Amino acid sequence: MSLFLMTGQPQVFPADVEIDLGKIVNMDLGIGEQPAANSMGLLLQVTYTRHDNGIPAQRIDTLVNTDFHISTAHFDIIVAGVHSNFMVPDGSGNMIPISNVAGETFQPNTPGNPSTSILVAYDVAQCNNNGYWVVGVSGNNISFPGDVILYHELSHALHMANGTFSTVSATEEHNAEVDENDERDQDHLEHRDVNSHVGGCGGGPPSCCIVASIATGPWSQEVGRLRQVRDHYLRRGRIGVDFFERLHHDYYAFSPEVCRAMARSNELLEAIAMHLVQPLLSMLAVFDSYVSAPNDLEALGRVILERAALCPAATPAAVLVQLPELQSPWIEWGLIEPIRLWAATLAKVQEQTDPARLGHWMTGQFEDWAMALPLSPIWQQLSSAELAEELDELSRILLRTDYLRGAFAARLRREIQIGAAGRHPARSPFSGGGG
Amino acid sequence: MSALEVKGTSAAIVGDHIEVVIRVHNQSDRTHYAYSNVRTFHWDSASRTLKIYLADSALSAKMRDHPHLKLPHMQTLAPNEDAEIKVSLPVEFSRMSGDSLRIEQVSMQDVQTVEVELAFSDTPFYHKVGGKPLGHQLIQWAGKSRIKQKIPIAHPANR
Repeated sequence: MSLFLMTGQPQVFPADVEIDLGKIVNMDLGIGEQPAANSMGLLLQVTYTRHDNGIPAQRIDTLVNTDFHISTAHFDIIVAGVHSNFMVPDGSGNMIPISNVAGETFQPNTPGNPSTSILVAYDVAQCNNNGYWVVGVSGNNISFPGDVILYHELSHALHMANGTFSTVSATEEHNAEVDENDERDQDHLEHRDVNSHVGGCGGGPPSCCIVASIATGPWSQEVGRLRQVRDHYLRRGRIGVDFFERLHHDYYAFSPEVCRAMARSNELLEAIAMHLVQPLLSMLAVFDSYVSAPNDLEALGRVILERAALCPAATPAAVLVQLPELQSPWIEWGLIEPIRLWAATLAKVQEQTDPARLGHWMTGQFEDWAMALPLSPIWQQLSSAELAEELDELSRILLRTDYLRGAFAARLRREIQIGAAGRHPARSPFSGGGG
Repeated sequence: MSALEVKGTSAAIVGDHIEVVIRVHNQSDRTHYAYSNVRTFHWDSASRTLKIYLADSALSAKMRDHPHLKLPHMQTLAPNEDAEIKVSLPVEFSRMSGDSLRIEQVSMQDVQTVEVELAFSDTPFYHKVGGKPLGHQLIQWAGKSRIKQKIPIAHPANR
């Protein structure tokens, strides 16, 4: 018997842990607890006779009914349900509110765990009742309730107990998040994105696009999708990250002021949503299709037609003329040009409704757009190997033909002398390109 | 010159919490973003000094890499305006004792000085999926934009 709950002290809340365990075993009445022998009233021993066949119940069965031989006192895994004023040591003498981590599993005899047992501590008060969130597979923030936190921590505990704990923290976390999704299935909750470990307490972080968030409602599906497009296709490698840092810097020079103005005027908010944000989201949805199904012109055309039906209002020409006053090549290319392209797309849809032809036309537009990618000084800081890697990435997303790669290579030589002084990207599709 | 000018600070024990207030003026034309919750702290009972970090610069190497680390709360500071950043910590906190399975209460009731460090930036923080662990990204985000202040505590008796 291996799973125990801390009790008998005012700072621990075993009843909350029991509720979370009950949810994990799908309210199976075979779960119970009893005072643990030789624990001086500080531990309850969890007992479990399993009747439920769910994966989470099987996991608890394993944890409860296996002797892992971790502790000489036979208390292999101990769970402490604590409140948000519980502090954990960071290993250097400082303390961290548990609400900054939600839960933590300690190896025996490590800072924060003086015992010979594996110790799980988690915040049963849900960050002073503000709630925890993590990122779901949709790209939106999803809740991180107590039973899911406990199940996640018990995954780490099991890995420690059976010797499968990975010392590579990203790998271990990935594995625990994969396990966590079994509990989410049982709770009918959206799966967590196992590649994104980010999370928080209370309201989410500022969105990837503050204008989009306000204009379409907080954490709308579309903003989540926009974030996924950004993170999975665009914000990759040093070039992509550098581009977005420059875009953010210039964007946040004006967008907070726009948000404040929108908060004062519903009319302005609706106008921005309709004429700027929706066109941008539409264009990114089309771009998503372009990248994820390369060469499927008909599918691309169908997405264009679907989005045109959803977002039929083109950005007024007068607004398109004013936008470049922001004078940022990053804003121009990343935000304004896609909005312009959406206006052109709507005009095109008026004369052409054949999906394959529309897809073909749009491919040409994206190729022109890709060629105009603004070049920053970071290009000159890349080693030959890094340059090859970055160009490979661009080849996959933006520059998909030999012609484009050749033309872009020529532009690099012309504008920032890459390739002109003997520094050629090795092993890149650009190496053999013309131009 | 720092974009944020400290206009005043205060620290006091209010009820069962230590409340710290930093009043800043954003002297720039850009909106700034500052931490608004305690990320880590250090209580030195010998010197009665409480160091509070509204920053991740003091995180240990272990915590910088920790995948569970949550995002900090951020407060928006409008350009050319004053703002107040207020945080609190419980006067008594709980932690695992150093030598047994008991949880102990630690009192900071006799705190005399609060040292606070506040990190900020002129763009909001965005987590890079697949990038370095969150702690590293946050430290890089704030860079050298940090304010440090030493504040004598006001106890209920001498306020």
